[in-house]
Amino acid sequence: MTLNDRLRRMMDIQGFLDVEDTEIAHWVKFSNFVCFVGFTAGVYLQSPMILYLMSLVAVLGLTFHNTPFDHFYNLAIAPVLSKPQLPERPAPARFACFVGLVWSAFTASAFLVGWTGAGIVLGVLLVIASGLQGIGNYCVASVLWRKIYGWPDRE
Amino acid sequence: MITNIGTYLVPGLTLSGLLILFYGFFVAFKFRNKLGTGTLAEAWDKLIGLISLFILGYIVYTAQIVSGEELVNPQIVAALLMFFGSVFVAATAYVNYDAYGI
Repeated sequence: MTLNDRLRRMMDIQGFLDVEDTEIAHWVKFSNFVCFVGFTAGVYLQSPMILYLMSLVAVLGLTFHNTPFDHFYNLAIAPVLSKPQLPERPAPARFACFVGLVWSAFTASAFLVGWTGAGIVLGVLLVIASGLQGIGNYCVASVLWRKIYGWPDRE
Repeated sequence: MITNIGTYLVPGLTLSGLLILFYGFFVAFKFRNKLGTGTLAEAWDKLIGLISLFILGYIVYTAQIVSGEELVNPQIVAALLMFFGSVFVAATAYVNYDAYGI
């Protein structure tokens, strides 16, 4: 099934220019949704450790083009449910990993240093941004990427 | 032993280093995206991954120094930064040597 206009635009913004299948477009959100859950848990518990671990996940996603959650989906979920494999994350989506890494690390640091107010503000904004991506496929960091570097690009 | 000077010098230098790392990240990311796909692009992905790992390490290290909390032993963090620093230097030298094919 082909993508509707909104989903097509969301995929294009994140750099998934070759994704034509609605099912893949929806499963791309899997990793983002798990990150959203992780960020929410970290902020709710005000846990620097969880938020630093989420930053480490973002480093891995940035380095290897797929987050550990993408790999989990490709290796464990897709074969069992007969779902398609996820593509590698293109440049805007990897840039989003970088933004998530920095944002999460600063939120964790704010909690660690004892700046709880700043941690909560940063954390709530992080949860909102990751929720928009994990649930609505709207990636704030990729939009920022498109504003900086424009498009199309070689990803 | 952290003296009064050290109290400001250590986080000051680390945060200055962090700013330089951010600059390095954006330059490397921009360069990598001009490479498209291929072996060299993949090598640069790994270098960018190391830069982002340094960024995380610098943030964790500074936060621990400022807060006085020991989430991870700061000596372990410093040792990891030094180790991956040497990996980064070797990898950068290798990638350049390989790219120019001299």
